[in-house]
Amino acid sequence: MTLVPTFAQSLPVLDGVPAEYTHELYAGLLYELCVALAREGLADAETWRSAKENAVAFAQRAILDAVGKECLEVLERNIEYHLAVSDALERNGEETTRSDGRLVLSIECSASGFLKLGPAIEALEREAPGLGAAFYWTLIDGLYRVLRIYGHEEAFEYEDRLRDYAVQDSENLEQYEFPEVEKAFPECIRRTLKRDPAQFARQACRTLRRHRKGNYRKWIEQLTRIRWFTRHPLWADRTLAEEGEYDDPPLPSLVVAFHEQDAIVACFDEERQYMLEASHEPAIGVAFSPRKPDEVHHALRVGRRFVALNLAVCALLEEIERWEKQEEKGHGGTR
Amino acid sequence: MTLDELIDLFQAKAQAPPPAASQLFARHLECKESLQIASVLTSAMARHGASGDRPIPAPSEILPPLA
Repeated sequence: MTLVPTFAQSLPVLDGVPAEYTHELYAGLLYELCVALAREGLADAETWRSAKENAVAFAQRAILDAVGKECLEVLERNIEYHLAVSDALERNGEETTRSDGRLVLSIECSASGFLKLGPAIEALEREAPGLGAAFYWTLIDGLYRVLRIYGHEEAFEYEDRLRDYAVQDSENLEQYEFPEVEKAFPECIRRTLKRDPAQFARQACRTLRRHRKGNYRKWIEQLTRIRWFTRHPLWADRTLAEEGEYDDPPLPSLVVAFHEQDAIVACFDEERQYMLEASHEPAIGVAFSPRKPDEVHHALRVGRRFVALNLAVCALLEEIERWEKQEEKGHGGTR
Repeated sequence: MTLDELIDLFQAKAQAPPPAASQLFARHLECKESLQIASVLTSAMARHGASGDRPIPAPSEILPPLA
């Protein structure tokens, strides 16, 4: 490629210039990471050979192999995540190298998945009154505990903010269009909005257990798996979020709505226009020293748990999508 | 190669001084002029790409090479 005609002052021709370059000036940490990955059993001499003896490629391969090809494909179909192991410290949107000899395992979301639950909830309610509400609240309460999602609560908050703006801007009130989030809810969810969470959770658990071998057993199985991963918060290292001085919490990994164009989706569409203007915490971040096996083990455990949770969520999402397609074709079957 | 030998290899590399090419690259990354010329080049490439691959004029001043 020639950028300019030949004359005295011309930009250089770029033919033959390598398109990528790996340098290893501060490679000590990288090789210590390779040691840690090998000791954890995530890679071996065959990985080193197939990575053409490149340490970055070795670490990448070890981590990708640990996630697994099938799992990666499921995640890539539904949510866009970026996993990084880095010695960079992000502060106010700028990166500096950490000085404490530690690395950070982080996963950031850049495109949310979409979980549409309306038709599934209605089908569960037809199966048994209360089953749809039990399914929804068990799922959503669990997800809110461990994952940044955009659901009915965020939509309610957006609607409240919009109404507050409108009150302050009463002269232009007619220009405001309010999303009326509650109207998007299926009746069984609207009815249970003001529930006592602890009491409802016990009741929902009993309802779901009664139907775990019923027509919608696959959904209930996936929900049980998700519940397992949502018992405790995932983020293990709040100091990273504080060090990073981020403007906002992580970008939502998942939009949970009832229908494709409902009020929750409308609120998300409005809010997402401004989401990228701020800096966001990663979905998870764990600092660890590659020289300390217990810290390495902890970081890997947090990463594995996050991946497993997302895999379970994506499996449910795809299961519901498949069911919907079958329903549309008029071949409703056992779930 | 056994796993233990691989780990020994990584540990030796972790302690080894960086290769000369990497040190040169790092010097460039720390050099203000190199970073400026890299910025000029990348912006020229972007303009070249955005203008349908038409030749673009060279900047009025070419930065000196790294001493």
